[in-house]
Amino acid sequence: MQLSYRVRMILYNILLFAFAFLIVVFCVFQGTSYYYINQTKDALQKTAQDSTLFISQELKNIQSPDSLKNRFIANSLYLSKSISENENHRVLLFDTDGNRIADSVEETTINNSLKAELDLSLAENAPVFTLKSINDASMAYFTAPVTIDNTVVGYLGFIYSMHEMDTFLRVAGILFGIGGLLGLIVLVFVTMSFSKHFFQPIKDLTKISNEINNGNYNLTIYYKHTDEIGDLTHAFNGMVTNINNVILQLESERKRLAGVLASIDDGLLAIDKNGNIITSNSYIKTYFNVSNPKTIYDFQYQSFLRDIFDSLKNGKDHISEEIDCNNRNLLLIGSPIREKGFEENYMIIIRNMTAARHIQEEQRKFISSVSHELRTPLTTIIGYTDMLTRRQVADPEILNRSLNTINREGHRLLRLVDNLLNVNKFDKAEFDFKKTNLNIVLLLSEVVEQMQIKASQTDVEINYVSEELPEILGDYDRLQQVFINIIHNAIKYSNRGDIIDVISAIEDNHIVVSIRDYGPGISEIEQKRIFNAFYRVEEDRSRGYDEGGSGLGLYIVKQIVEKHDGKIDIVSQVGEGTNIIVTLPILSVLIYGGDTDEKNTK
Amino acid sequence: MKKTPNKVIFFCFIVLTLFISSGCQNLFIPTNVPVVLRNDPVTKDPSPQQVSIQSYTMASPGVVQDITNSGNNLILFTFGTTYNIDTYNTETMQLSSFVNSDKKALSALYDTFDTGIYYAEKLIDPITGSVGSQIIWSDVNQNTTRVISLPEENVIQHFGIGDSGQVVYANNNNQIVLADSEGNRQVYSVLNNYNILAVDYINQEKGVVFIATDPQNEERTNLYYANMKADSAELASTLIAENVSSFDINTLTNQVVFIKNTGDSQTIRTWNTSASATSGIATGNYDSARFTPNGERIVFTQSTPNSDSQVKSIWIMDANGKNSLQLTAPLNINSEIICHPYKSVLFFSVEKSSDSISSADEHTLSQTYQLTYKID
Repeated sequence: MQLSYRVRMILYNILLFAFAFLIVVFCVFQGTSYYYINQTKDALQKTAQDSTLFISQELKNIQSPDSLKNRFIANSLYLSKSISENENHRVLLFDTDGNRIADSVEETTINNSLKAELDLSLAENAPVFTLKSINDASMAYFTAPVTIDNTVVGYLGFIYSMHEMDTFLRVAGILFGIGGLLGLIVLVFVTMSFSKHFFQPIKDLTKISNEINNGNYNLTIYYKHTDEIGDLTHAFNGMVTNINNVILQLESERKRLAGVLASIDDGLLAIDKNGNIITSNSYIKTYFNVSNPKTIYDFQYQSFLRDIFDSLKNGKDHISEEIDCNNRNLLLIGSPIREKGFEENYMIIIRNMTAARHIQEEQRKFISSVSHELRTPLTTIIGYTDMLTRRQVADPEILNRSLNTINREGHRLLRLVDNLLNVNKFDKAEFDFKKTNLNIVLLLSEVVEQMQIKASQTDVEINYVSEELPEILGDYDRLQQVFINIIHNAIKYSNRGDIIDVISAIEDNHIVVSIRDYGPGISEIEQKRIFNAFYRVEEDRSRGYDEGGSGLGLYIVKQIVEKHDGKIDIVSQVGEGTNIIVTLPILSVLIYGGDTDEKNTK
Repeated sequence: MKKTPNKVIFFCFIVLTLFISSGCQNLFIPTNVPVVLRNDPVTKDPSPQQVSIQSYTMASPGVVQDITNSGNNLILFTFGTTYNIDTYNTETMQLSSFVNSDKKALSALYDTFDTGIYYAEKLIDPITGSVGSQIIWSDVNQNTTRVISLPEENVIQHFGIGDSGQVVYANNNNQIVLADSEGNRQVYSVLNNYNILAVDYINQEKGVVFIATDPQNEERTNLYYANMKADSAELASTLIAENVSSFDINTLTNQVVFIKNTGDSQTIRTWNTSASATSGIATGNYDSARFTPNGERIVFTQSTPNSDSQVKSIWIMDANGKNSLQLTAPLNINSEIICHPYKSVLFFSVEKSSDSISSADEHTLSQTYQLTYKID
């Protein structure tokens, strides 16, 4: 049975008090009785001496021929009675052989009560003292030889009642008992009420500890004394503050880490060896549509994750796997996290390769297109040169026509190669875009002015309308190229006398530039493919050999626009004309971020 | 950790048992075991000298007052139908009547040359009922009787004897009178109006030593000395000691021995006129002290502390306080201890208990004893 600290304290107090009290009582009793007994011993010895003198005086006074001894025996009763009267205790007298010859008390029930002492006195010829306890009363038995003129004439014995001592001890005992009881009651009462006071800080500490257990770290204890408890509360407060600080620190670290994790472009999944998710980032939710996964087994539809986890658990150091999931191409990389002193955990990185795959696909298509496009003029050139060398044609007209064709195709090939180089530049990771703050209105005005000259050749008029627009970040030359290209197309597809409307405005934190022509328009099917590399609208192919559009123009335009974080759209209907809309983000949006979702828009 | 409180509890239990089982008995002094007491505990410093009582005899009934210079005669007060002053011859052991009077004798002393006896008598005026006393001188042969003090004088009963037959006494007028049997008187006024209780003469210095009430504290008596100048009737007294109850002057050495009260006990101190301060001799519960005639020892009476009885025992010690030896058992001594001028003999009176004490008269039975002691 475990008693509470307070009860134990009270019990110890009581025990201590009882013990100390007992010691005091013990000392008092023993000391007093010792003192009394010694006093009695000394007093009896003095009395013996006085009595001896008295006896000597009395005996010498008696005129008698008898020896002192005989005189002593003869007068013993008188002597014993006289001494007894003087000294107030019982006096016995004995002769030299130890026989009792007189007793101041006539009736006695106890015979030979001093026998032991007398025998010893006889033997030692010295006084003998014995403390006796008869019927719970303390008595002193004393015998001594009576020596007169250097001869022992007999012995005297005293029986002295120490009732005073007994009474004192009894009364003292009662008083001590009462005092002890009172003291005990007071002690218990005081201890019980004061212990509350003393234990209050401990109770406070306990209460606050419980609060802290429940998560409330903003508490401190107030204690006004500077004693040991004060030191404890001070230390405790310091500890709580420290804990608070550490928790805040941890919290901020966690947030920072979460921020880092969130900004990673890949999905991250950290798992412990039991499959519990240690941490994950938002991509997990996006990719797998599982929010707040707790264990690896929460991914019901992604068994591949479990497989990777199992392989890692079995000791594989590195796993890479490409899977398709939810119309995405994902690369999963799994590896163990090993740190000395900690148990092994695992990390799975999920990288969205869809865009990369898409780009690869595009590149593949591009290259196949390129080879196709390169092949076409080359076969023409080779065909004509073959013919000329084989046929040894001398006809100057045929020769001229052939050489012209070869030249033309050659130029076209050159143009193609130039455009290819441009496209290639786009595909490189480091595209030397020189982005600066620029005023789109200024740019568009310049472009329009420049293209008006060309447009005038076919009586096309370009109108440019714009409001005040904020600056954008962009490559001046490239953007010029974009709008030149678009307006060039618009001019190309405009009929004689048409107008082209160029409007730029701000809409929803973006600059919107629309170039509208009233030409033949583009069908929906063609709209879809118009930005593809090498795509040429059929009419273009059939028209303008001198132009010889490579089909890369709009593709490049789209690339440039997208590299500016913008987009390009076509709104067109056959017979109605075409509206090309370029949307570019304004400067502040670029800087302060927009969506952090996938970069791949639809 | 648990062991310590267990040990403590165990220890407490043992103590408790001890205590209860001892039942208020002393653990250090065993009961029912006789113990032989070897040393003589009464004397604190064991005396190298031993005293033996050679004889202890009843001399005569009565209260002894004085002894002659030869040691042959004693003055005794006896009471019968009248107040008697008797003399007792120690050689012949004969008691002779000296004065029979209807007035009670208070004290009596032989004069310097043992030619007569000065004694103080109590006077009760039959008319007014006032109490007084006078000093009378009578020669040893009872031929001449003369009243020394003046009728208006109220003599203080403790008087002394001078060195040439005169008596020195104090009266209630704060005077000290030096008078002789011829009728010559010298009256000295004591300055400061002391209330004198006892007076005695110092031969050598021609001065008096007296006990008087402390002027500042009526409860106390002090010891004073005054030198009698030839040209002055006034006595300028000097304080010898405070809180003094009795004194005695040795005629041979002119040493004064007195008893001073100190709290519950007394000290025996000595002084002489050439000493600047008093010397302490011994501490105890003393009643009276006087030098032996040769001045070498002090005979004193001692009672047990806190005892309610009047018994005292007679002791003797060297004048320096050493070697105190007990001469008698506690006795109901009612006289001074009279020393024989040259022998180791003491005379003193003991009050006997009597069944006739129920009678309202002042008759007490008093017995004078002669004690011969030998110190070796």
